[in-house]
Amino acid sequence: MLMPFHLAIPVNDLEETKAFYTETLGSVIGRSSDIWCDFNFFGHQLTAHLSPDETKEVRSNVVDEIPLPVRHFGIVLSWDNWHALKDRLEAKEIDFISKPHIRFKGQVGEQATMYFYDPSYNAIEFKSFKQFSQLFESFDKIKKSLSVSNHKIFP
Amino acid sequence: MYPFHLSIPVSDIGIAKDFYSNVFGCKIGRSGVRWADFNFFGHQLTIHLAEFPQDDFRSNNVDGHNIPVRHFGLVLDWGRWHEIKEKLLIRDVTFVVKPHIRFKDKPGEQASMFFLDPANNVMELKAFKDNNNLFAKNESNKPLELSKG
Repeated sequence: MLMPFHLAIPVNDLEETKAFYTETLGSVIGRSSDIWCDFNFFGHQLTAHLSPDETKEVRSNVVDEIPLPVRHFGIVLSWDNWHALKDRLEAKEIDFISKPHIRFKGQVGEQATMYFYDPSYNAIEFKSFKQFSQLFESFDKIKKSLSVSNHKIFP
Repeated sequence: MYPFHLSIPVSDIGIAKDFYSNVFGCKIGRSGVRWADFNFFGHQLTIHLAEFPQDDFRSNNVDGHNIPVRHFGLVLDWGRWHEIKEKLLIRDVTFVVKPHIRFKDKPGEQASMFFLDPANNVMELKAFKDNNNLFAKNESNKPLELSKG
């Protein structure tokens, strides 16, 4: 059984954070105080702590030629739910760090991904694998199982 | 429930692989020279090599402990929490908050510990004796005086 993940992040403003995680991402508020708030974030426990000093800095590594924040979190959704969330975020005119796109389209390891910030510059990634079973497969194992060893799908 | 995904910076890929594989039993998934994926209790934990230090914590006071705001972890079952606690004690990791039980023999009894991974990422592992308490609400900042009462 999958046990809930727990993540605590710094935020600038609790009310703004509550609005974002409930209205944009559909989370439900759990316990809270005047300096922190728990969310049921897709079944996981996300805790926002008021800590404005800590919300500015974003360091990036280059992935697929796009500079992406190293420190980020999110959920691995089903293919359909990823697309449903993408539509919802686009309707809300979210400013994406990396716009919704498909990597390895039509190939082994096909995955959908998008990155955006919450109101406190916490970077969020939602992704989805077309074949969910590939989430933890090593490159070698996938290559072997599909006999594509000469095929440069994976860097 | 869908798997969570978290990406964190580390200062040494080899040391991080040893820690996450041998303490938590995580299997390594895809990896590159500067990054690796782990199956972290069914969740996808990604480590990225990053040269910036992780020692600049801001803390908020929770239950009289100074807890670094930015931390991650899992809600484990009671038995697994105690197994991992033993491994951490053997490795002599740095605890931010030592393993302890809150609300002992009361509703909401929970085990908790905060510690540093080798790159000083702060981890919290907790376990509720009764897992139904995870998202229970209360009126104020008294996390576990719950409806079961």
